[in-house]
Amino acid sequence: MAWPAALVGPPCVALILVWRACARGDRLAAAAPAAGIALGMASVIWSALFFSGIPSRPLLIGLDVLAWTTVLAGGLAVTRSRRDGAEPLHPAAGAGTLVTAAAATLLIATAATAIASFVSASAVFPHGEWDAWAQWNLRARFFARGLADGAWREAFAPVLAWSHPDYPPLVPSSIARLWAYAGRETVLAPIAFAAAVAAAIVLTAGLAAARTGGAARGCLAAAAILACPSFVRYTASQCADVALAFFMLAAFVAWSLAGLPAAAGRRRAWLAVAGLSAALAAWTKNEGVAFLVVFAAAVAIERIRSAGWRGLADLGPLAAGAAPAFVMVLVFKQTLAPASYFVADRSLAETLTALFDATRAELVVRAMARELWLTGASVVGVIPFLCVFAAVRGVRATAPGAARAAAPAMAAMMAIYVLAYLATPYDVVWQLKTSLDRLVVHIVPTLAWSMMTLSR
Amino acid sequence: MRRALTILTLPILLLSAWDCVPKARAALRLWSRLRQRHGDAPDTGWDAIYRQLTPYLPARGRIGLVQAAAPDSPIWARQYYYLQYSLAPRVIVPGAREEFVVAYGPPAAWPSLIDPSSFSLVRSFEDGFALYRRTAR
Repeated sequence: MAWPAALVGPPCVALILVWRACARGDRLAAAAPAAGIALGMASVIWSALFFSGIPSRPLLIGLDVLAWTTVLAGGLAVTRSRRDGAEPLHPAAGAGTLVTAAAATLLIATAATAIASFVSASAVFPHGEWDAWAQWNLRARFFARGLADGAWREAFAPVLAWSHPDYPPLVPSSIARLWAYAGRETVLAPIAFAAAVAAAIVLTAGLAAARTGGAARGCLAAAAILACPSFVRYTASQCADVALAFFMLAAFVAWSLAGLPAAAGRRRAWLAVAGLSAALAAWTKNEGVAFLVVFAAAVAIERIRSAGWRGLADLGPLAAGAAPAFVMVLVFKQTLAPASYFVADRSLAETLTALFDATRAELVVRAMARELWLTGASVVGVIPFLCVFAAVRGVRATAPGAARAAAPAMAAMMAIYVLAYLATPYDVVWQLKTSLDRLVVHIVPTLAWSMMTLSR
Repeated sequence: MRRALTILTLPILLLSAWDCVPKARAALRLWSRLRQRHGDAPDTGWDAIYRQLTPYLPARGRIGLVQAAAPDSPIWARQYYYLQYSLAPRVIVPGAREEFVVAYGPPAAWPSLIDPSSFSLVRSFEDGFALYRRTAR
């Protein structure tokens, strides 16, 4: 049972370092994003070793273990143990007992439903939904089965264009890594990976919101995510969208942790973690590349607004943190990935015509608005709830810049998705039907955390 | 007042959460039916069925596929993509230009899918497909 150790190993390294480096009150809020980001970083390290052409499974595993031992040793050497406590950020008055009890009950009920749904869906569809086995797990099989003789490169053959081989391989390489440790293919590995990412999302949003707004806010942030039918569905689907949603959320949460009073002295480190998470989003799906740009722009704008041009100095650690994963994205795109269907299947003139087609625009905007309203529900979804909640509570004057910037950044992501639908060379109705609900899942966790964090 | 209004927003969240229940119930029902039959999940079954081809195929390379199902129909895509998933790292290529070709459809349709003078049957499988090998160019 080496693969469960390979799954929990990198998050454990991250937890040890977070526990050592963070003030007591910040540890829980920092633990979940750090653990999830470590899962993503495991894919970067494994892919760097794997893509360099090492054909031996034992050698790959040995180098992977060595890399994580080095990360742990290096982390312990550069961090010093902190025993000081952080000031509570939420006034004790935060929420009444009634609201806290209601939020906790809601969280327990939604978590129970989501867990039941995940377990039963995973038992019935252990290979995941269509997109999972036709894209992500298919590529994982190429990586695992074609390791020794180099046949894994066939995963990027032009004839497999339908499997979107241009998509970055965070999920496939994570699964292939677990299978390499297992010494065989087991459906439990992608199921466990999907569960770990989903748990990291709920814990990251809940614990980070609780750190700034109290227990009730934390429960409501977590419950809002678990009450989203699309999130619950796609968690068990084994698609990369939930992982992308995590890295988008973790980037904002890490940025907000950089601004906490107790993070003084660790500010640059948390900004680097935020940059790493944003780059891991780009290592997960092509949409993540758009997110990396939007996130960097959001940080730049917020810093200029709050600290003037001097504030742009924060982009330095952000870029340094993003570098390892971003370099992997560039190497992947330059050496392995075929051209995206957006540029391969359509000329620039055709794309421009599609972008300015009013009928098409109306269709896409209507579908997007409907999905933002419902997020998989039948009457009303979680995004309207989050908006009404923020409107009722009002915005805290002292809300972290990261939480304030999150909603506009998510709106920018939706605008980019609208443009992508307008430009798609495929039948737009079919594409909306088969992907829009997945794309909206990307923004739900970040919105849940930001609305609960910035509301009074 | 604000606290009361906050409580009033929770039913919106409850409505959304309630929509997770029917999907969870449906998945639980399917799972319970599977357990009653002591059977594998359908996808696991198909994966095992397609993997029966592997002893007859080279470890890597291209395998042809001809199908009776209408091109681009959901059945066509499902057969093609799932066969690719099962047989990776071999690459499945639509058409009969490769040395090994899988013919997929009712047995009566196989002779119309593949030229019998250029291919010989390696093995037929119970689930509507057969493996052919090129005998002449």
